[in-house]
Amino acid sequence: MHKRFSNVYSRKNKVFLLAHVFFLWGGVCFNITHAQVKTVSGTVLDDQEVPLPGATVLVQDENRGVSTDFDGNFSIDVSVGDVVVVSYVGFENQSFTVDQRDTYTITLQPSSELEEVVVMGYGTLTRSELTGSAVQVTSEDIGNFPVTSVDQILQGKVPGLYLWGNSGTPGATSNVLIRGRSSINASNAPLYVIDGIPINVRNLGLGNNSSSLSTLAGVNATDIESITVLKDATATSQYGSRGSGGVIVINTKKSAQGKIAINIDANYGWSNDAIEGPVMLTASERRELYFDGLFNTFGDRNGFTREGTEQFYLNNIRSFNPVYKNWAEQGEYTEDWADLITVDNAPSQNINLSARGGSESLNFRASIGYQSVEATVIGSDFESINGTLNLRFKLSDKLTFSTDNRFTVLELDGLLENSAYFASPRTAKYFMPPTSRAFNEDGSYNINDLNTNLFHPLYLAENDIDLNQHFQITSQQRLKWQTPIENLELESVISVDHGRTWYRTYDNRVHGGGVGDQGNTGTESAHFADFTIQNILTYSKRVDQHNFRLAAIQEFIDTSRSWVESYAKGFSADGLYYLNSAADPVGVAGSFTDGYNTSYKVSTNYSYDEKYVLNLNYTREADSRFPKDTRWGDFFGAGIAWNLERESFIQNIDYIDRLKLFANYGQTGNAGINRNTYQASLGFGSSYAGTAGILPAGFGNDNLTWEKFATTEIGLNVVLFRNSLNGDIIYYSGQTTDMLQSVPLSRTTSFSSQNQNIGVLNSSGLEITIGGDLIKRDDMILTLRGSVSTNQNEVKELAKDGSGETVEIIDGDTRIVEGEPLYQYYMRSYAGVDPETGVKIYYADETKTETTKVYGQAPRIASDMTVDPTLQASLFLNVGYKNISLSAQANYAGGHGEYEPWSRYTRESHRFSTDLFNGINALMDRWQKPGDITDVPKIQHLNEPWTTYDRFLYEADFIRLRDITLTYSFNNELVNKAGLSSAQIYVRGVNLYTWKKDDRNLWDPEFLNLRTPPTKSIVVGFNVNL
Amino acid sequence: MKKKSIYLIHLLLTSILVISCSSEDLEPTLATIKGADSIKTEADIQGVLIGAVDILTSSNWYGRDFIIEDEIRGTTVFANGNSGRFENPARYAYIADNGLGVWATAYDAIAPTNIIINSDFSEIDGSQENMQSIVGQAHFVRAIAHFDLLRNYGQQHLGGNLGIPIVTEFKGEELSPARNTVEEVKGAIYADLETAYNTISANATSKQFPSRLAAKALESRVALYFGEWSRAAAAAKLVIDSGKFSVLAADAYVSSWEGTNAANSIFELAFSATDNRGINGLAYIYRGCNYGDVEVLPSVQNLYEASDVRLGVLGDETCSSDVKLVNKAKWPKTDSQDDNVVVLRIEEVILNYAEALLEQGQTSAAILELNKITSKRGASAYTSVTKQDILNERRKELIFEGFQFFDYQRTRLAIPVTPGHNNQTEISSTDHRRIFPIPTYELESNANMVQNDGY
Repeated sequence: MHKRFSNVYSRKNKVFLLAHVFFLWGGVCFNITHAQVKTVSGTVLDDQEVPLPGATVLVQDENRGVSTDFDGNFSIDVSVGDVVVVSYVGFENQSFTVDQRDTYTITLQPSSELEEVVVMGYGTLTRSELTGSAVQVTSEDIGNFPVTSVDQILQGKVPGLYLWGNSGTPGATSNVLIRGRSSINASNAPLYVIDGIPINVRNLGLGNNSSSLSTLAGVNATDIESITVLKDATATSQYGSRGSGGVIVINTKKSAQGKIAINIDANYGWSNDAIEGPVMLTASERRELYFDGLFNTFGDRNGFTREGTEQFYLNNIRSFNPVYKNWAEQGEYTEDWADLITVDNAPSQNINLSARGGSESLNFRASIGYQSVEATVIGSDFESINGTLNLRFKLSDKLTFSTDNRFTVLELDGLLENSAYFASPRTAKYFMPPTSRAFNEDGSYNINDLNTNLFHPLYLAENDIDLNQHFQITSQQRLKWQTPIENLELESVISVDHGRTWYRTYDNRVHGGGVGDQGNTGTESAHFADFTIQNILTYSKRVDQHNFRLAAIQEFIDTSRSWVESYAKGFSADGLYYLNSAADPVGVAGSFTDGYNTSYKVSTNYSYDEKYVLNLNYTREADSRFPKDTRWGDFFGAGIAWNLERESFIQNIDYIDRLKLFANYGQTGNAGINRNTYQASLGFGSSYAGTAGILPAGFGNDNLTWEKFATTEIGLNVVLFRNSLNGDIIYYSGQTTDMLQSVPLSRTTSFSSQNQNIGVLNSSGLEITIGGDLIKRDDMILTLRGSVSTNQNEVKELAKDGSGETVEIIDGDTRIVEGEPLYQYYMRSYAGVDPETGVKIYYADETKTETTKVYGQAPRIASDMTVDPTLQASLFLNVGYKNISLSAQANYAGGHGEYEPWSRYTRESHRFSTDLFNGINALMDRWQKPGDITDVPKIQHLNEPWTTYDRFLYEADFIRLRDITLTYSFNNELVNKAGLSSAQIYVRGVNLYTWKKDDRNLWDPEFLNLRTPPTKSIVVGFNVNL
Repeated sequence: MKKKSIYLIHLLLTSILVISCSSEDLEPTLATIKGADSIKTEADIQGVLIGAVDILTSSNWYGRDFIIEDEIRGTTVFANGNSGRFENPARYAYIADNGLGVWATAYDAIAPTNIIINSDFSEIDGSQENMQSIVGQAHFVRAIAHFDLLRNYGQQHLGGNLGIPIVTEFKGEELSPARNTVEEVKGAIYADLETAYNTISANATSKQFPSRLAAKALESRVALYFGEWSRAAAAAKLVIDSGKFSVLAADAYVSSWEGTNAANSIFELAFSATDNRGINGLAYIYRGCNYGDVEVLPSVQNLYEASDVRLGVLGDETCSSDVKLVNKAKWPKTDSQDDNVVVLRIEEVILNYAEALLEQGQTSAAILELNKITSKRGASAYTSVTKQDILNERRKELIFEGFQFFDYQRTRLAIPVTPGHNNQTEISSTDHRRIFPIPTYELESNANMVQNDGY
C-alpha cells in the first residue's frame, strides 16, 4: 500500500513540487525572455473568503498558467510587470500586475447571470457550457407560490411547456406537455427528477372517479431551490427510455454552512372559481321552455294554441311532470343550486418554517410546512404537512456524507369528479332542476321531494365520506468521495421512497346512492416502494484552455406497488362508517405490480477556452416493460455550441455579453406503457358460482420495444448591454419511430387491440424569447420578458390492418389519420336551425354547401383544430422601486379547440333541459316561430339521443393573468432592530383575469367538464428571515 | 486507517452494485396474470370453462342488455327516459356508432371455448373423461354465442344471406374473418350442439353449467328460429320426455323467480351477493326510481285472464308522485340484484314443441302441450289453437325474458304501433332496422367485414 501523495508531502512541499514541475515545463516550452523572473505565490478566495480550488492563474501574454490547489493556493513564475489573470467559473475575472510583492491574495466576485449554473439531471453545467435549451426557474421566481401541487408553478414560465390541471380541486394532478406530443399510446408526460432521483409522479388518489391527488402535492414550493426543464435531446438522452417527453428536474434546498438562518413564510388566501361559468335556467325560464316544448310537440296534433298550452297541461296532468301545477301556488319559487354548492372566498392558509446552517463539518437544513385549502365547492378540502431534514457531514477532506429526507402527510376530502354523477355537487349545479327545493319548511334538507334522479348535494356533503389519506417518506443517502486520483470523484446514492395511501368511502343509508344498500362503505389501501441506486463517477481536467469533464453513471431502479380494496353494505344505524359495522361484504380485490429499470450512462463535456463546447451523452438501458429479447436500448445525444462572445472579433464589440450559437441531436425512448403488455397472458379475476374463472387477458407481443424519438435543435442565445436586452430563438424538429400503436383487431378475436411498434410521427416548433432589464438602477429596476412558442405535429405513418388498409384511429370526437396532426376534432358539422321548422340542420359534405336534417346522413368532417395548442405565449414583468416590487405574468395558449361534453343534458332543446334536469340559459334564444333565425333549435317534448357536432366545439384560445404579486421589503435598519435579517410582506393574485377568444364558450378554457374548474385566488402573506 | 476502510467499503459496494444487474433481474412479477402457456391440468381447463360461462352473465348479454333490447323493440315495454337508457333500440334509432355491445361480449366467450376445444389433452394432467365433458360444455357455450350473434346481426329473416363470422380458433390464422353465410353459421351451431349433447357427461347435472339436456333445449330454440319444425319437435320431445324438469305450479310461479335451481330451470346463470351486475342488472332497469327505465305499457294487463297467476308478475310502483306499471316478479331483488337468470326452462321448450307440432299439422298434440302450461297458470285451457294463439301464449309466459322481438323476427310479422311506446311507426317485415348494424369498431378494424343494408 503506497502512502498517499498528500501524506508524504506537506502542503508547502506539494506546492513547491508543482511549482518546480511547471517551472521546468515553462522553461522547456516557452522562451523566458524576461530577465527578472521570480516565483510568486498567493491564495485565491471567493467573496465569502472561502478558498477556491481549481481557479486558473494565467500569465496573460504568455498564455501559461497554473491551477490553485485544494486550499486555493498557487505559485507561479513571473516577471515584474506581467499581467496575471485569475479566473474561476461563476466569478468575474480579476487581474493584477506583478510588482515588488511576492504574495498576493486575490478575492473573486461572483459574476452576473452570464455564468449562471444550470442544474441538469446528473450534474450541473454553466451557461456557457450548455449546448441546448434547458430553462431554469429559481426560488426567487417561485417564492411561495400558492399551489397545492408544485408542477403548477411552471405554468406559463417555460416556453414550449403547456400545463393544464385535471381539476381545480386542491391537490389535483396536472397534465404537462413539453414541446407537444411525441406519442399516441405511450405516455407524453415528462419525467420528474427530484434531487437526481427519477420519481413516479401519478395520481395517488384511490377510489373510482374520485378527486385526484398528485404525488407533487407532497413537495413544498418553499423547499425548492430551482426547477430545470430539459427539452433538448442532449439533456434528455441521459434519461434514455424515459426522456422523450422532456424532463423536469426539481432541485430542493440543501443544507449550507454558516450562521443558522431561519425563515418563516406564511400566508392566508381566498379563492373562487376563475370563471363564473354558465348560468342555468331559473324555474320560470325553464317553465316557459317546458310549455314551449309541449306546444311544439302536441299543439298541432291536439289542436291547441300557444296560449292554450297551460290548459292542455292541466287537463292531461297525469301524463306530465306535475311540478309546474303547484309551482304557481307555491309562489313561483326558484332554487339557485349553483349558489348552494359553491363556497365563496374559500379560505386557504399556508405556513412554512425552515432553518439552515452549521459548521463546515456538519450542516443541516430542516423545514416543516402546513397547508390547508378549502375547495370552491362544498364537501371538499385539502390539508398537507410536509417536512424535510437534510444533513451533511464532512467526514474528512475527501469524504462527504449527506442524507436528505422528506416526509409528507396529505389528506384530501374529495368528491366524485370524472363524469356526471348524480351524487356529485358539481353535477347538481348543472343538472338539478330549479324547481327542486333545497330546504323544507322547518329548514331541514329536502331529501324526499326533489322530483329528480339527482341527490341532495348538501345532504351528501354532510353525510357521505370520500377521503384519501397519504403518507410518504423519501430518504436519500449520498456518499461523495474525492478519490486519490485527482479530480476523480465518486458519488453513491441510495434512495428509498415509501408511500401508503388509504381511501375511505361511505354512502349513507338515508339518502343517496347508498339507500338501496342500507348504506355502503369501502376501503382501499395502496402501498408503493421505489428503491433507486446510483453510482456516479466524475472526472474533470482543466489544462490551459481545454476543459474536460466526464461522468459515468450506473443506475438501478426497483419499483413496486400493491393494492387492496374491500366493500361492504348493510348498516343497521347511522353514524357507523367502517367495514366492521357493515353486515354484508360485497367484494374484495387486490393486486401487485413491479418494475425494474437499469441503465449505464456516459456523459462528457468538453470546452475549449469556453468558446467551443461539445457535449456527448450515451445511455444503455433496460426496462422490464419489454420482453427479454428487446429489453435493452441505446440512447444518445450530441450537442455543440459556439460562444461567439469570447471570439476576439466579437470581444471588441462592447455591448455583446453573450452570443451563443448551438445545435444538438439525440435519440431518446419512450417506455410509458402499461406494464406486462408484452406478455400474452391469462387473467384470473373472473368468478362464477363462487369459483374462479380463467380468461385470456393480453394478446401480447414478443417483439415489443421502445418507441424511438430523435430530435434536432438549433438555437441562438443573445445577451446585450449587460443584460439590458436578451433573447433566444430556438428551432426544434423531432421524429418518433417505432411508435407504439394499439393496432385495432377485429373484435371476433376477443381482443380489441394489440400493441405493436409501427408508426411515425413528426413534430417541430419554434421558441422565441425576448426580454431585458430595461432599467437597472440602485433604487429602481424594470425587467420585461416575453416569449412565444409554436408546436405542430403530423402523423407520417400509421399501422395497417389485416388487409393492408391504413388504420384510422377514430374516437368519439377526434381522429388520428396519416398526413394530419394528432387528435383532430372530427364530427358532424352544424349548419344551424332551419328557419321554417326550427329543427337542426347539418352540413351534408365537406364543402359545406348542401345541408341535411338527418343526423345519420351527415358525414363527420375534420376540423382544422386539434386538442393541443399550437401557439403559446407569455409575458412577464417585474418592477421594483425602493422597497416595493411588483411582478406579473400572463399566459396565452391557442390554436386548439375544446369540445363541450354533457351538452345533451344541459344544452339541447329537449326534455333533459326542461323536464328531467336543467338547462343553460342560452336556451332562451330558441326558435319559436317560422322565420326566426337562431342557432338554438325549437324545444320539443321528447328525449334526443347523444348528438356529437361542432355546435359545441369552440376555439379554445385564451389569455390568463396568471400571477401578480406586490411585495414590500422592510428596510434593513428597521428589520435588524427587531432582530431579523430581512422581512417582506406580499399580496399575490393568481388567475385574476381570464380572456376567452370564443365567447360562445361559457366554461373555463383550461378544460370543459363537470369537474371543479381552476380557481382564482388572492393571498396575503409575510416572509421573515432571522 | 478508518478513512481507508471507508473508501474500500465504498468501492466494494459500488462495484457490487454496478455488476449485479443482469437481464434476468429485470423480469417483472406476474402477480395477477399468468403466461398464456400455463394451462396444464384439468383444473385449469375447468377454470377456462368457468371463465367462458361467466361471460354470459355480462351486463351486455344475459346480465341485462340482450334481454332488454329484445323486449324494448317489442310491444310490451317502453323506455321512460328516467336515466336515458335503451331509448335508441326502443325508437329503432340504433346506429353503428352506438358501441360494440354483445358483438364484443359473445366473441369474448367464444375465445376461451376455443382454447378448451383445441387443447392437446395428451399434454394435460387429469381425467380424460371429465375433460371431454368439459369440452362438450365448451361447445354449448360456443353455440349459444354464435346463435345470439346471429339473431342480433344476421340477415336471415330480412332476405339476406350474410351471417356472422364463425370463429373456431383462438389467435388463429385469420384474425380478420369475413362474415359466414347464414347457412354456414346455422350448421356450425347445430354441429356444436350435437357435440355438446354427445360428450357432456350425464353426471353434469348442475343447472348452472351446460348439461346434455340444455344442449337439446337450445337446439329446439334454434330450430324453431329457423322454422325447422321436425328438428325442433324432436329436440324438445327429448327434453320433455326425460322427466327431469317440471312446469312450475301456479302458486309457486311468482315466488319461484326469487329462488335458484327451480324445478323448471334447465340452464340458469348464477349471481350472488358478491357477484352480480348491480345497477347494471335486470332488477335495476325493470324497477326502482333511479334507473327503472323499462316500464310496462298499460295494455299488457289486458293480455291475461283475471285468474291468471301470471298477472302477479306485473305491479305498480311509485316514484315521487308518478305511478308506473313495472315487472315486479322476474328478478325481483332490486336491492341486492342477485337473482339468477334462467336462460332455458321447460316451459319454453314445451311452447317450442307445441308450435313445431302445430306447424307439422299435429294440432291436437299441440293443444295438449299448451294445456300443460295453462293448467298450471290459472288460465283457461285451449280447445283449438292457431299460430297466433301460440305466439300469444309465448308472450304471456315468457314476458320480460327476451323472446317477443325474436318471435316477430322469425315469423316475419310487422311490429305494430302500441300507444305509449317510444316508436310510433309500424316496423314492416323488411325494415332494415329489425337487425342491428355491425358496430363501427368492427368495420374499422376488420377490412373483410360488411355492414348490414340500410346502415
